[in-house]
Amino acid sequence: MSLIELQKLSKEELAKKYLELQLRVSKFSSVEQELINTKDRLDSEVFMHKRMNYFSQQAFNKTNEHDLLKLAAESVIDIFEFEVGIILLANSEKRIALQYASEGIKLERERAFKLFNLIQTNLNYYDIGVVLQINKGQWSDLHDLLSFHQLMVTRVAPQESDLTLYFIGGVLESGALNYNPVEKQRADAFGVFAQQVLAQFVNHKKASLIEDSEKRLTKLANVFLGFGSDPIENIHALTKLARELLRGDFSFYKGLDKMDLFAYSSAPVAAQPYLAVEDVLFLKGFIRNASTDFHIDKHVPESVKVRRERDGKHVHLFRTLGRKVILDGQFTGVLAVCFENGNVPGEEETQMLNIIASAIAVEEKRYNSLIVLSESEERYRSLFEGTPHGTVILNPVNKNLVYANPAFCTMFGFTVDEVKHVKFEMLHPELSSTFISLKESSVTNQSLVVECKRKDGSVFHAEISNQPVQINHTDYLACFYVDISLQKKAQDELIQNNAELKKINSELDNFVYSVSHDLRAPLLAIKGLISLIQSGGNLDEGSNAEFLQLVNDSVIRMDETIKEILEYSRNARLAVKPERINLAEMATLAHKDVRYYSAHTVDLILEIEPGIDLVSDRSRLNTVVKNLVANSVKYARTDISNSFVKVSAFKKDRDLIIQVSDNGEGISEHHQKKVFQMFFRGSNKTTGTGLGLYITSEIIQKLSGEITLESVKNQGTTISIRLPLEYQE
Amino acid sequence: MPEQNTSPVRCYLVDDDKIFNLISAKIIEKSGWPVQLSIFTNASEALASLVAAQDDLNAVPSMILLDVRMPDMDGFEFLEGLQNLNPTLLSKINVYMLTSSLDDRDINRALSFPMVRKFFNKPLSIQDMELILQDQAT
Repeated sequence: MSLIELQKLSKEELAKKYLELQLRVSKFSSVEQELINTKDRLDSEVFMHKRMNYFSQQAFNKTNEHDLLKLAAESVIDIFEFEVGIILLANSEKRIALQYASEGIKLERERAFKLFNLIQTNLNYYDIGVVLQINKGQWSDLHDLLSFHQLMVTRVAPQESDLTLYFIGGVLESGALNYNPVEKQRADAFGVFAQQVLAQFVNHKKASLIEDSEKRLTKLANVFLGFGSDPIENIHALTKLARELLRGDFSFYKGLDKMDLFAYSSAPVAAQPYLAVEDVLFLKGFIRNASTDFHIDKHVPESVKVRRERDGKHVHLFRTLGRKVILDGQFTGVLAVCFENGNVPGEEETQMLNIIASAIAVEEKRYNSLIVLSESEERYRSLFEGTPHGTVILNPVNKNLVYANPAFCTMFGFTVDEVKHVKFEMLHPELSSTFISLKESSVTNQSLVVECKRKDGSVFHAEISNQPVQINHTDYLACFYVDISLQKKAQDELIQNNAELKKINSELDNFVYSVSHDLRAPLLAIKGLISLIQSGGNLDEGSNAEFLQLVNDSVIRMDETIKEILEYSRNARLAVKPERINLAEMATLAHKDVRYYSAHTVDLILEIEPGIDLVSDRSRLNTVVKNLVANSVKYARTDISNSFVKVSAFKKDRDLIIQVSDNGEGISEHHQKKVFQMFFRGSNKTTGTGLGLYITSEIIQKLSGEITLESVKNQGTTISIRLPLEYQE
Repeated sequence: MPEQNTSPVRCYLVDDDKIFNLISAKIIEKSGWPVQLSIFTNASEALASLVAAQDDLNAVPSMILLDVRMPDMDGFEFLEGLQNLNPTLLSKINVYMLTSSLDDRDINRALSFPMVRKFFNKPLSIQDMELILQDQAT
């Protein structure tokens, strides 16, 4: 409308037009406002989508579920401008929370799980994907848990999965003043975001599942490949593997009857909750009656808990997946993996546990048979090595000793190693080789006493028997030795003692016989003489006097015999009394005593080395010297005038040699051997008792000496005595 | 009393003990028999004498009084030596043992020799001598 036209209008018309214009302006401004609002909304949506896009990019890089959830929780705040973001991952079928992440609030595990229970109870009737707005006052329990003003909650679930993701965005009471009431678009966007996260999560899960399965199989294979010969170590490795493959916090294997041996815990040390032995025992009692597989959830008895090593606190077994280890139908042990984290073992995990439990059963069986084997080996070894009988295994073909026990080595003086270079015939030069012929021995197999040669050449006697044995399908011969040296020695001694006893017995017999004879002879002579005197008659006075003299001689002879018998018994009975002896003086006195035994003069010659210090029994030695000097006097040659008896003495090493020599009658050769015998009389020249030299030799023997005789008939006799210079018992 | 024989009986007395020899000689003398006595104090000398006399029947004694225990050669050794003599000669000799031993073994051993007739305990008595002469006569 032009100005001319306007001028044409009436006032009323102008006012009407103005009103019209004003209306249009206000209409424009409202459109403009609308446009602005729309622009703002679009901006905000673009921003949200940008953030969501950003989230998707970030999420793609997250390798672990928890990080993904954490990112989602952050994004709830970033994108939707909430103060608090919480994401819960749960197993909807089993109605348990697995993992959670929170942002803008400190949410500890217990509270998070309570929150989950609460939401689950209230959301149960709603379809998946519905976004709820919950104001203060609704869900009264919730407010005690989180002091909130308003919450937005939704849940999403992947298809064909029992997993559910819960998304919670919230405004706390403290932040309520600045809060813009939530509009519809935001709720829609929240639902879209939840779907997006879910998609990411499912992708992530799929990828990691594939990767996991591969990893697990590789690990399982590696453990089996790495098995050693020690079943205990293998069980260790398997227990550790169970924890790793099932992603548990710890694992244990407990042999039922081997409390100390098989209780393991194999989680990384820093985060390791160890089972105390009593807990394991309790657990064992709890699962003893359980079925082969058992699954303990949170709702199992409160008492099933474990003590954590790092802080000593008792922690409830949150979840335990276990399996009985069955060996030959017997409940042998328990393999279990415990979860303190949110991991929930699935079908795959159960199967893996089964595989590992079977492997442990195999190792247990191997362990048992090794124990049995080593026990029986131990038994035989200790039998073989501990027996006091020498035992040797030998090769009957080349006659080499293959193995010998310590008793054998001791017997023969070989070391265990030396024995392997010894041939059987070296040990028994005189033993017939048929003894070790396998054929013969298997028939005979009887023991015999053989001479055995030691390494050093010395000889002993052993009773030996043999037995064919088979070792690793090869025929050997085992020989068993019983050292009978001692028995043999004892036997020899017995024979010797017996001979000695016989000798003593016959000596005693002889002694009694001789004594009775020699004592009776003078007595009977006296009897005869007296009867002659009594009968008188045709005998003259001279004869009577002669008879009486003969009676006297007989009495003296009898007395001498008795004296010598006493001398003999003294020597046998009394202990040796060592004292210092002057041999020259002793010989001189003896000569003085006996020189009248003969009318013929026999001179004494002394040739005694100066400085002799003789310690011996004075009385006994005196008897010896007297007897010997007396013999020289009695049996001196009466046809010569220079008869002598020479006593000489000299030192030889630690001994003293005493010689008594004469130039008398001498002793014929065939009598020389007998002169030291009891009651032997070589001559009837004088009325000897036959005891003198016997007693002399007995005394010398008692004084630890030796006596020898040299004599030539009609030239003289030399008796040599060797005595220790100092008598020692 | 046994019948008297005019020719003297040859008798050896073998004993190392001179006193017993004296006693025995006196007893023989007292018996009144004509005995031609040869005394030996050494058995081996007596045996040597017999060996030397074995060709002359008259020189051989018809009786020997023999002691058991003697040095050098004892009575038993002498008896063994006797057995080596000519048997006809030996059959004429009667041996009478004299001993101071009370041992049965000695007596049994002595009597196992065929020429040993009797065994007497020392000292020889008149009664012993009479028994010997009776035995000689048979």
